Amino acid sequence: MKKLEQGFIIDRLTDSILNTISGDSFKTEVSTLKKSDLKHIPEKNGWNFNWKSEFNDLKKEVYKLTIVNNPDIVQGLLSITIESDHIFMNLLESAPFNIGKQKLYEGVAGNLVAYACKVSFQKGYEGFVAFTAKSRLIKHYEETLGAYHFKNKRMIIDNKAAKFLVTKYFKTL
Amino acid sequence: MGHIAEPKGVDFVIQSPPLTDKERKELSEFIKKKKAESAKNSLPKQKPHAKESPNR
Repeated sequence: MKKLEQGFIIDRLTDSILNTISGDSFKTEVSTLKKSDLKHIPEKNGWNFNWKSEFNDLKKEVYKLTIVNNPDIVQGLLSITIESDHIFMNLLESAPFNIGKQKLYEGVAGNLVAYACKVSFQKGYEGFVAFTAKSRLIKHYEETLGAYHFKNKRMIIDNKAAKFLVTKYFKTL
Repeated sequence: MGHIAEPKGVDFVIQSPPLTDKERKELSEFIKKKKAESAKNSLPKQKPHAKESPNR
């Protein structure tokens, strides 16, 4: 892993997601979304957000989560903004086939949140990541991600929680 | 490798409205405070100084 981060594929990190049918774990990677990926993620295919507009916004960075050796099937997407002292998660969405009771893979969102924390450490922000939660998920984010309910629906993942998440997913900060 | 699973019937979706300048400032203050707390907690505890002998 260390070699990967320091090598030429600097924007890729490997981890895994779980197939809900077989229970098998599949190694994944996070990489920057490319223009050519956009044709695989139109709203008409069940994606909720306009990722093309997110991709075209120069203030934002968009990442995709894919299974290793299967780079065309996007499992989930993450849009972040690099703020002055933290990473702000604008959007996070699992692929339509990873949503609901019949979801194919589990762990997509957690994987992407951990990646945002990883970017925060890389930027020298000590892991701080902020985002907005749906009311009914606030408690859940507090329990699973260790996020702190800051104000209104804004939440923040601090250094300690970020360390836990990054170590859990990527083993190294 | 570990992963965090969503509870049954719950899907993690994040859609954050952009931060206002006020929120940005409040967040920065919070982060500053947290960093200061963290730095304070990571300082090694100082041993109490031994009293010097009055005969020296």
